[in-house]
Amino acid sequence: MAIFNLQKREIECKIVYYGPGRCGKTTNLEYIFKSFKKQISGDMVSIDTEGDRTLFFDFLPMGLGQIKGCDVRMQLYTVPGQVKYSSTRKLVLRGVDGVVFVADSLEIRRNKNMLALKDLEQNLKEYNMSIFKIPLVLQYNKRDLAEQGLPIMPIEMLEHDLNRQLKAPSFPAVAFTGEGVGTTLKECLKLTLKHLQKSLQWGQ
Amino acid sequence: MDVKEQIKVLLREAEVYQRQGLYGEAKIKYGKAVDIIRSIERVKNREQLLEGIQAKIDAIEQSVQKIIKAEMHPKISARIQDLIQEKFSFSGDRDQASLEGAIALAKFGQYERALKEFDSLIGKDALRFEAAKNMIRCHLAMASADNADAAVDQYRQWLDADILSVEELHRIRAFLDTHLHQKGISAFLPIPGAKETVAEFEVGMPVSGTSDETEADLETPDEDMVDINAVSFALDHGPLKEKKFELEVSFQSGNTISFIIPGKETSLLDNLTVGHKIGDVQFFSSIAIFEASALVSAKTEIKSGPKQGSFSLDLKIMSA
Repeated sequence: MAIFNLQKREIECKIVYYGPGRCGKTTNLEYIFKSFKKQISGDMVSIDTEGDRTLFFDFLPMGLGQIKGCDVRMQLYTVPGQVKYSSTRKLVLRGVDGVVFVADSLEIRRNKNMLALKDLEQNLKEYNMSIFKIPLVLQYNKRDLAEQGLPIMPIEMLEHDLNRQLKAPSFPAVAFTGEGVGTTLKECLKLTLKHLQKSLQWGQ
Repeated sequence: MDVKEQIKVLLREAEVYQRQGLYGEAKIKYGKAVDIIRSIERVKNREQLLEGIQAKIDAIEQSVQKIIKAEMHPKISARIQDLIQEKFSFSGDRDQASLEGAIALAKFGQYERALKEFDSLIGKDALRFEAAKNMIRCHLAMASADNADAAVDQYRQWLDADILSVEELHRIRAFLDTHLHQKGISAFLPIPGAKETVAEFEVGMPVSGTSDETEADLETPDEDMVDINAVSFALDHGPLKEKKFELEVSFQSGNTISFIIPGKETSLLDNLTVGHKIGDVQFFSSIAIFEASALVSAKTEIKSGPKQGSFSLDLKIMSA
C-alpha cells in the first residue's frame, strides 16, 4: 500500500516485477537504471546468488517529480523467480501498488509462465488483493530470440495463456536491448497512479 | 529437416538456453542431440562430437550444483540490512514497525542482526513477548539440526533475569518446548517459578526438514489462542470411521497443540497422517468449548526416554 505523507506532500509507491526464473526481471531494472538517469533517485540494489540469480530482491528507487502537488516516489522491486524462494516472493509482494508480470516468450517456458502467474495470483490473494483489480501490465520478453532460430510463442498464444481473463495491457519486449522496457514501465506507472488517485482520492 | 540440420538446431538451442541460465532445458536439448548422434553410425567426427557435448553437459551439471549448494541466506552488508529493515516495516506505529523490520531481517536470514534488533525491543512492554519469541526463533534457525543450545541458554538467561513475567516465560517455554520436540532434541527446560523440575519429555533423533519450518514460522503473533486441555473428534475414514476419540493435550504453542499417543494405537495413528485435515474437532478449554477443523501438522515417533515407542502428534487449529 502506498505511503502518503500528507505533511510533506509525498507519496511513495511500490511496483513489483514478477515472473518465472530467468525471464528478465532484473534485466528490466538494469536497463531502467541505465536509461532513466533523471528519474533514478538512488543506487540499484541487487542481492543475487550463483549464476546471477536473484536471491532476495532487486530494488531501484525513482522520483517522478510533482504530480497534483505531491512528490511522487516509486520504488521498483523484483522477486526471485526460482520456485524455492516462494516465501521471499510473498514477502517482497507485501504492500505492492502495481505489478509488471514478465513472461518468457520461449516456447519451452510456457508452463513456467503460467505457474508464475498462478503464484502471483495466490500470493496477492494472501494479502487480500485480487489480480483482477491490482494495476497490472504484462510484458512478453525475449522476442529477439526468434531471430536466432529459437522457438518462441506467438503473441496470440501468450495472450491466450496469460491474458485471456485478465485483459491487462501487454507489451512485447527485449529487455536486454531495452526494447519495450520503458513502455511497460510507463504503462504500469500510469495505471498505478490512476489507481492511487482513485483509492486515496488524491488531487480531487 | 536432415539429420545434420536437426543436430545443429538442437545444439544451437541448447547453447542459447545454457547462456540464458535455463540449464534444465539446455540439458534436454543436448541429450536429444546425443541420442540422434548415437543412433547414426555415419556422423562425421562422431566421437569428438559426443565428447564435446558431454563436456557441455558436465559444465551445466557443475553450474546446477553450484546453484543448489549456494547459501540460501548469505550475510549481506549492513547497508542492505538497513534497507530491508526500512522497506519491510509497514506499520504506522514506530515500535511495531521496528518489530516488523526485525522480523523481515530474520526472514531474509540475517539472524545475527535480527537478534540485536529484537534484543533492543525487549525493553518495550508491548513488544517484549514477540521480541523474545522471535529471538528464540532466530537461535533455532541458526542452530544445526540437532543442537539448540543457544535457544535453551537464552531461555535460561531470561529465567534468571527480571525481564519477562512468569506468564511470558511459561509461554516462551511452551514455544521452545514444541520446537525442540519437532526437532527431536531433548533438553531440560526449567519451569518458571519452580525451584526444581524435570524435563517433560525426551525424544530421540532429529526430524529432518524442521529448520526450514522454523524459518518459515517467523510470522505474526499467534499466541491469542486460549489454552486447550483436551480435544474430541471422530475419524472420517478407515475402519474406525465415526469412532470418537478424546485426547489430552500435552503442550500447546499458539494454535498448535501436541499429544502423546501410545504406539499401540495403530489404527488411530495410521489414520492421522501429516497433512490430514480433521473436520468438527471439539476443543475443551477451562473457559469454553468450541468446534473447529484441525490439520495434522507433525507426527514423530519418540525413540528414547520414558515415552519411547509412543508418538507425538501435532494438530494445528484451522478455523473456528
